[in-house]
Amino acid sequence: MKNQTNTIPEKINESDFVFERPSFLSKIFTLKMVLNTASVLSLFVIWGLLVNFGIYRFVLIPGPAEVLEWGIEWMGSKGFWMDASLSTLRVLGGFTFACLIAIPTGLMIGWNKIFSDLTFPTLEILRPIPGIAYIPIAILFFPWEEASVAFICFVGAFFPILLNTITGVRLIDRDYFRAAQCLGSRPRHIFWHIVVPGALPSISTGAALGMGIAWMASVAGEMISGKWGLGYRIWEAYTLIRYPLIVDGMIVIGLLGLGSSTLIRFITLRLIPWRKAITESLDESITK
Amino acid sequence: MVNNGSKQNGEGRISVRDVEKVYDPEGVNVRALEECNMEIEPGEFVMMVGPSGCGKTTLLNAIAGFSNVTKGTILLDENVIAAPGLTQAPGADRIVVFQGGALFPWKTVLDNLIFGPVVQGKNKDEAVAEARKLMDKLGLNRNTEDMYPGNLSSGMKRQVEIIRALINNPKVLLLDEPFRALDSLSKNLMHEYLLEVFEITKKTIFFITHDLEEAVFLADRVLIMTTRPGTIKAEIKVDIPRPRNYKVLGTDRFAELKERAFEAVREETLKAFEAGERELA
Ligand SMILES: Nc1ncnc2c1ncn2[C@@H]1O[C@H](COP(=O)(O)OP(=O)(O)OP(=O)(O)O)[C@@H](O)[C@H]1O
Ligand SMILES: [Mg+2]
Repeated sequence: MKNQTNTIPEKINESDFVFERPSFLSKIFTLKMVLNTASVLSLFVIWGLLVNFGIYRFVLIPGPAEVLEWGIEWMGSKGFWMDASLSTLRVLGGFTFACLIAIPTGLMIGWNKIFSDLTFPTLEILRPIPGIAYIPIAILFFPWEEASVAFICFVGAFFPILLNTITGVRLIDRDYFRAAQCLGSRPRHIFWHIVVPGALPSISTGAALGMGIAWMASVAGEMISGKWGLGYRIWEAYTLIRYPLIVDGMIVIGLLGLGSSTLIRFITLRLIPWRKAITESLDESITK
Repeated sequence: MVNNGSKQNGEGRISVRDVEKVYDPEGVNVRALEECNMEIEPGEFVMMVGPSGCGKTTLLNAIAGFSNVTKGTILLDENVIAAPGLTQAPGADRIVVFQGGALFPWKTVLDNLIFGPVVQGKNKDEAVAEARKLMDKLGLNRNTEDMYPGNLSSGMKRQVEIIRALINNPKVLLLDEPFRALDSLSKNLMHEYLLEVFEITKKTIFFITHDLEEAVFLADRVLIMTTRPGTIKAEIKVDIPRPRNYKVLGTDRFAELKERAFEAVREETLKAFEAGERELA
């Protein structure tokens, strides 16, 4: 019945039309958009008010209008694209290397007791050392400036990815391993068919986290070494007393960070199609 | 006892002889099994019931190859699969269906079904053909083959899991409370389903449960395990003819057998309680 009314337009009568039109999804979609927009707008409104009324020391902070003006000018210049693209490349470079090393290592640590005992203590010692602490060493070590900033990003992204990968493997239900054994698996089958897919959801969480931290690390790295990049530009703006540019730099970093984590979510959702049903139902219960 | 000549009926005898299993976590000895003896004939459907924590899963894990035994031997047909210092690794000759279900959520139904043959190095196309044949034969809707387990009903998941085991032509099926998490309606459907599968395949089945109705309805023989350390206390031969359907649930004979099983388990459960009280005192 319903299918027919959908495919044969002549048969639509008014009551059907009214009943079907307020699609549940589209309602949620617009409500979501409104709330999201309101959330971002309110950030700017609150900031503007604080600066305008000079609450506490907010007089010293550039206001939204000023920042917008400077921002438009900056974005029109060649330097901006240089800064943004170099920062992005450094972050992506460090992040990619971190994934390439942290994911296989984490899979092995999570899966293999001997490998775990062999590597984990060392990694635990290295873990609390923040990326920024590596800056002097990185400058000494790398002959090339780009490499030293990318390395700082690498350090930042490495541990969240590693730890999430390890946890991902360890949380795989023991019965999956046993079932695979029963069905005749050898260790390599267990690794490729159980360990890797079982850990993927957690790896993707780690990757999103790692990406965020790589951005943070890049700013620190660029403030200290480099002549280009968003972090360097922010620091330069401070020393040259071009304060609105500081905030512009911050906003651009925020947007690029948002863009890259969205990209990661987009990619990983495609890698874990079996999770789709789960995430969709989760989304639904959140919006309710 | 009598081994008729047909090939399928000739395979899949499980012999458990004087098996003992002591768990030893940090020096605290937990004696889970003691002098446990059990013979399951090829093609026999044996259910095991017993109080909670008496050692049923321990026995099943030893047969499956997940854990070792500290005394005694377990044989599958003529081969020793477990003895002190010897544990034959789990394999496709004795496949377990788990309580919580262990379909791989990241594989579609079809990929789950062909998993065994594929990792055993068999031809994939043949495995797919075999899986489809089995789906038809055992009544699993082919439309499900591209679905992920997360989108199936819990009854269907068990159905897929049973077929995933059977495609390997195992000698025995080991089931550890596989239907415990199901609602009663799906559970009833799965009982009839398993009975049908049993009629068709005549595999040896060793099935653990707490549900006495389930036990009597499905089994050729119900074994009752004592409280820990577990040994086989009694057995009840279920002489209700096959093929069975839900109508036997209403018969006097069924009620009588279930009553006997109930009495036996109740006695052991009371002992388990008393032992627990002593330990607490
Ligand atoms: N890995 C282990 N280490 C130590 N003790 C264990 C271990 N596994 C099981 N046990 C103990 O052995 C006894 C038997 O456990 P088992 O799981 O075989 O019981 P069960 O009959 O399957 O119980 P249930 O009906 O609750 O599933 C229990 O007392 C349990 O606490
Ligand atoms: Mg158990």
